[in-house]
Amino acid sequence: MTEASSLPELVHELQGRFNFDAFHPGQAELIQALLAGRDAIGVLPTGSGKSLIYQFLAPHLNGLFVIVTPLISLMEDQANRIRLSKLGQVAILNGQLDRDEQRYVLDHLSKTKFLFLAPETLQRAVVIRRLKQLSIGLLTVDEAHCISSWGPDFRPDYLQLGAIRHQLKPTATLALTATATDRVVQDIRQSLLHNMPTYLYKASVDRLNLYLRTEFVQGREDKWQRLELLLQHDWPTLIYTSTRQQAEDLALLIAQRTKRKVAYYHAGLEGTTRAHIQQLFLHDRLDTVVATSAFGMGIDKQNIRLLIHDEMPANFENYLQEIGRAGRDGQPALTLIFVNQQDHERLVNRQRLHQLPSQLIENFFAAPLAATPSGLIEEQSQVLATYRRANFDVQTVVKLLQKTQRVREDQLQLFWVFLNSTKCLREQICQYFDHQHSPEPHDETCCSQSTQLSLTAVIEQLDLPTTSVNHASPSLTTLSEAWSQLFDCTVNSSQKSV
Amino acid sequence: MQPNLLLPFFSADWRRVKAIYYVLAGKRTISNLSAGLTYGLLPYFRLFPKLSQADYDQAVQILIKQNQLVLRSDEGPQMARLTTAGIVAATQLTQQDHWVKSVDYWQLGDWQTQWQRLILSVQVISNYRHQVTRYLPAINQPKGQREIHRWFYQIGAAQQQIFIDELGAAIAQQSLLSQQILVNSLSSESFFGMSDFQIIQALRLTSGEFEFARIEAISALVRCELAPTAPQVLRQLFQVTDQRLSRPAQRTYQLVSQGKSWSQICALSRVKEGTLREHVLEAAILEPGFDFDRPLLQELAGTDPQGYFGQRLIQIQAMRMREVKS
Repeated sequence: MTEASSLPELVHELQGRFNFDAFHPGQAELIQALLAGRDAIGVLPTGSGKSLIYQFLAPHLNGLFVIVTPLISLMEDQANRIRLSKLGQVAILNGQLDRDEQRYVLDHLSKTKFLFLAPETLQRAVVIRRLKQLSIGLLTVDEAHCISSWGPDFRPDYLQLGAIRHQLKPTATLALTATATDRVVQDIRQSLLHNMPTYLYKASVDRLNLYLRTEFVQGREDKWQRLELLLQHDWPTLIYTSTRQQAEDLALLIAQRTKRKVAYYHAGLEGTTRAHIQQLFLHDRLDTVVATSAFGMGIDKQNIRLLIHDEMPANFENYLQEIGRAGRDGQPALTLIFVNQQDHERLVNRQRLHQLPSQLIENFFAAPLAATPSGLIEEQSQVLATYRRANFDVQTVVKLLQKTQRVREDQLQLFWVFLNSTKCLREQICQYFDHQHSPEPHDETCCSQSTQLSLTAVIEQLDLPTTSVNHASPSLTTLSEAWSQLFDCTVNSSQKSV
Repeated sequence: MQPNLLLPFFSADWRRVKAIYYVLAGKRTISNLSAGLTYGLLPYFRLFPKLSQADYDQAVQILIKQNQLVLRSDEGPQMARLTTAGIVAATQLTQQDHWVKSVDYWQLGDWQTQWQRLILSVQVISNYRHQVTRYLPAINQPKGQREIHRWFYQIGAAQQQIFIDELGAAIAQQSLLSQQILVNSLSSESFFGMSDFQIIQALRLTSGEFEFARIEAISALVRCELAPTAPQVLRQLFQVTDQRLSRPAQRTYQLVSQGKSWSQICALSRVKEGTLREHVLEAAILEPGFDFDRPLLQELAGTDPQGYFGQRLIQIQAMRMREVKS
C-alpha cells in the first residue's frame, strides 16, 4: 500500500488519470480513508461516481480487487468501463459463464486486477480456495444494503460475506450503497465488518436539481391525459412501470398516440437488444424509454429531464434509486409519480401473494435437493434455495421471511403516507434517510402535489431545457444506406437491396 | 409467449406437453432428445432458452381454451394434440414469412450466439473503419467478445473489405423481411439502426412474430454462410463445432468408435454403466453417421432386449431411418 495522499495530490492524479477536474462529494474522503488502511462504508447517491473509488485505488493498493455486485448487467457494465479506460485487467465470474470459462478466469486471476462476481459465486469453495492463494488488495461490496434484513432488497447470500471477508483477509474493505437508513448502515457494519472501527461517509440524499411531484389520478385514462401533456415536450424521458407487460403496453400506446421515439426495456429482452436500446437512448435517437427497474443500474444517461413513475414503487429506497436516474448532468429535471388508490391496492395484494406460508417453507426444506415442492412458484423456490445454500435452518428462515414481510409492508405503508402527505416531499425523504443533514428550505423549485398546483403551471415554472429531436417517424434503412453509413462503401451493384 | 406460435410444435398425434417445452428450452436429456427426434422437433432444440415453464403452460392453456389443442387427461405424462382448427392455424402459420424454416441447432449452432457474432463483428469493423476505438461493445458476454476479438485479428485489415462485401451479398440474398430485420438491427458509432420495438412497429408484426422472424433471419443467413461453397471470411465468423454430443457422451462414443469392448469402456470411463448406456443413446440420436449395426450395440441390446436400452435403441433406429427416408 502507498502512503496516504493529500487532497491536492489526489485531485492532481484524478485530473491526470480520469480527466475530471474535481471529486464528487465523498469520493476523496473514502479514498483517503482506504489509503490510510481503514475499512469504509460509503452511502453515496446514484450518479455520484461510486465505482471511481475502487478504480482510483488500483495503482495504490497491491493485490486483486474483488468487487461483489448483485446484478450481472451491473458487473458487465462496470467491467466494460474499466476496459474502455484501460485501468487494468478485468474478469467477471458468474453463473452465465460455462465451466471452461469459469476455469479460465480462475486460472488467470494472477494477471487480473479487477474481479467482479456475484455473492453466490463468491461462496463457492473453489472460488474461495483460489482467492485465498492470492493477495486481495480491496474487497468492495457494492449495493451493500442487500446485507440488511431491514432493507427492502435483503439477499441472504450477502450475509455470508462477513465470514468470507474473514477468510480472504483483504488489505481494505469498502461497502458501497446509494440508499441506506441508519439501521441498514448498522447492519452493514455488524455483518460485514464485525463492528470493527470503520470510516463512514454518508452523503445527503438531497438532489437539488430534481423537482419532485406527486400527481393524483383517478384511473388509466386520467393518467394517460397527464402523460400525454408531459410527452408533448421534447425532454429525454424515462418511465418506470411495475411489470414487463405494463412496459410493453405503455410503449405501444405512446408509439400509437404520440410522435415520441419510444422503446420498452426489461430483463426479459436479449442482451444485444438491451444494449442497443441503451445506445440509442444515450445518443438521443430514442427520446422515451418505458422500463421496469431493470433499467438504470450503471446506465449513464446524463440528460434525462423527465422521470415518471407510472405506478408507485414499493418503498422509499426504490423511489430514491430510480429518481436518481434523472438530471445526472446537474441540470434541472422533473420527477413525477402517479398516485392512485388502485395501484396501491394492487401493490399490497402483490406483496401478499408473494408471502410464503410457513408450511410451504417447511415442505421445501424437508424435500430432497433437486425436487420443488408443489405450491411454490419458481421465484419462491429460488429464494428458499438461496437460504438453503447459505446453510440457514428452517426455523430461522421462517422467522426471517416473516420479518422481511413485515418490513416490506411497513415500508410500503410509510411510502404511501409520504405520497398522500401535504408536507414538503424533499424534507420527508431527507428525514427518512438522513437525520443529520437538514434539507434546503422549500421553494418553488423543490416539489409540489397536484392538489396544490396544476401540472401545466409546474411545466411553465420549471422551463426545462429540451433536446432537439427529429419527429419524423423512424423508417427502415435499406441495405445500401446502411452499408454506406456503417462502412463508407456501397453494396455491389449486382446485389439486390431492400 | 404468443400462444398460437406454439401450434406448429404440436401435431394431429398425441405429443408429450412437457417434452416439447424441454426441447424448446434446450434441456438435454435422453428422454427429451428422443421426444425431439420422434416429433421431428430436434432442429428447434434451444429455440427459446429463456422461456419459462409458467409462460409455456399458460400459452398451452390458452390454446386449449381456443379449441386449437386438446389435452389427454388419463394417467401418465400430459399429452396434447391439435384439433382440426389447430391444424389449420398451424399450417397457415408455417406458411408465413416469419416462421422459422431455416433453424437447426445442430447444424447452425445456437441462434443467439450467431446473432451476437453478427452484431458485434459489424460494430467492430464499422468502428474500426471510422477510427472509433472507445465504445461499449454491443454484447457483454466475455466469451463472445473474445471470439470476435480473435476473429478480428485473424482476418486482419486486408480481409475487412472482403467481409463487408460478403456480408452485403449474403444479406441481399435473404427474403425481404429477413433483410429488413438484419440491416436495421445492426449498429455502430456511425449507424444506429433501430430498436426492436421500432422495427416491430415498422413491419407491423407482433413481438412474438418478430422474435420468430429474427431467428429465421439469422438462421437463413448462417445456413447460407456455412455452405461448403460459401466465402471463407464469413464462414470463419459463423463456424460451428462439429461436436454435437455432450463432452462425456463424446468420450464414450469415441471409445465405442475405436472398437473397444464394453468392459474396456467401463474400465476406462469411471462412470456408472447406466450413464455410459445413456451416452450411447445420445450418440444414436445425434450423431449423423451412427452405426446401429455395430456388434457392441447388438451385444448390449441383446443382454436385455426388453430393457430400457434395447427398446430405446430400436425406437431411435426406426426414427432415424424414417428421418432419412423423409
